[in-house]
Amino acid sequence: MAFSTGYTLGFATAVCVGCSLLVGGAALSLKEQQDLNVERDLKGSVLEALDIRPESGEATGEWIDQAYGERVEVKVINAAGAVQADKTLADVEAAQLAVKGSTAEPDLFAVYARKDGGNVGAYALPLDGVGLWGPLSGYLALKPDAATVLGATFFAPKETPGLGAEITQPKFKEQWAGKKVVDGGQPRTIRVVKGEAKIVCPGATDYCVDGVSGATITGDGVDKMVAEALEQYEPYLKSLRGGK
Amino acid sequence: MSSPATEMAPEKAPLFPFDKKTRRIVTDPLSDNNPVTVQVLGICSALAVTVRVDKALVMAAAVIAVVSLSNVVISLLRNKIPPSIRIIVQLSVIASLVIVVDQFLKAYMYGLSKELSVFIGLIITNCILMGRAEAFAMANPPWQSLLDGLGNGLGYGAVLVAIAIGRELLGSGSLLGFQLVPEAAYAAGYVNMGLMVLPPGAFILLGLLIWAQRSWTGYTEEA
Repeated sequence: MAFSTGYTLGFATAVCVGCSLLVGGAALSLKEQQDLNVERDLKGSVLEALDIRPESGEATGEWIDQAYGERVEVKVINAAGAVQADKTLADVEAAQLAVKGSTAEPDLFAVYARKDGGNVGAYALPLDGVGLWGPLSGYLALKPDAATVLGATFFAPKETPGLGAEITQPKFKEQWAGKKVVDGGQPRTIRVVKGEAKIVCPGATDYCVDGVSGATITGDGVDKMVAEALEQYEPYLKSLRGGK
Repeated sequence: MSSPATEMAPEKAPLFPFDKKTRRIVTDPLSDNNPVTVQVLGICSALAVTVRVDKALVMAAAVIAVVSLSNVVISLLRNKIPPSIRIIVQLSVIASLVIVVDQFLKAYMYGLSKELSVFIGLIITNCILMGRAEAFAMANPPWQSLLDGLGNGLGYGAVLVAIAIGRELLGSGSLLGFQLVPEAAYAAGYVNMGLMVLPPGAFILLGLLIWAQRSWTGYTEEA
């Protein structure tokens, strides 16, 4: 059977329209549930960094919503490290959006504080950086002394599975607990190094974590985003350490 | 690999025949003409998502869904598709279906979809799908095409799960996340086989599987 050029063009158009409707319809109708998943994923990651875990089993969506609501308080600070009680997370996002694409730094930052009764049991700092293929993010949680790491979580949505994306696995994350961000009263960042920390960083294993083999650029991205976050938050961390 | 053919027998309906010849459409790709072990297609994903059984199961389900649906759609359109643009039409249909499946996973199985990351999207480039659309659905009615899609999807899935069982058991000592190798064994010096978690482990297992399956069926490549 021969088909005319007009028919072929018409058929191609019809296929395009049909496929677009299918894909668009699916994306639109599922968006709400997907956004909820992403939000819970972020909340769950904050909870994990802050070492808030369910008493048994896996963290369910409901548990995350509840625990996050009860245990996590978002504090907004300015570049000088002063808490801005009248600002919310939305203001921080607006401030970040305002400097997006430029080298300027935002003037508001968020800190996720773990509420233990009336006290703060830990502080989680959001991390934001660039890996090999796309953005990296995560949370670095510090103990109340603002000098010892409680835990860290990472997102690496575009990194190579099995290589860069391994930074989201427990094996990499678990190394961070107990590392230090202060050395003799001075702030010091934690490096992601090639090879085993105890061989590469003799005498400084508190400031080194093992990178993932085959994922040097992702490791450098983590290294850089941790250093940047610690620098940005240093005024606030300093005030926590009592050195106002 | 059991055949699902025995439980359905009504053969009166001429629209949906299920005689011996039609059943072969489903059972052939399970073993004698398996898309992975005989045709050696879809290897990339077979190696990539077989570290754990749960990932392999989700991947298998996604491929079964997409290859069955795309076969039906292509088959329904087979007399309308101008031959000059048939490949691109097949690809559009397959790509759309894959995106829909990906969106569903993101909405309802978020954790697994995150771990499967790019590999769901890469179903689009899986040769099995294009192969079935071009070789079967373009020339056969929708019912047969659906069965062909199911058969090939199941054949692919069976190989995936078989490799994943081997890799998770040897590499992590567990199945579906359930620890099978007891702590006592680790205490006595047993170590997980790290090679199995890495891609070479999948190559080795797949090679062994192809060998075993081909000696079982007596299949040989024609020189």
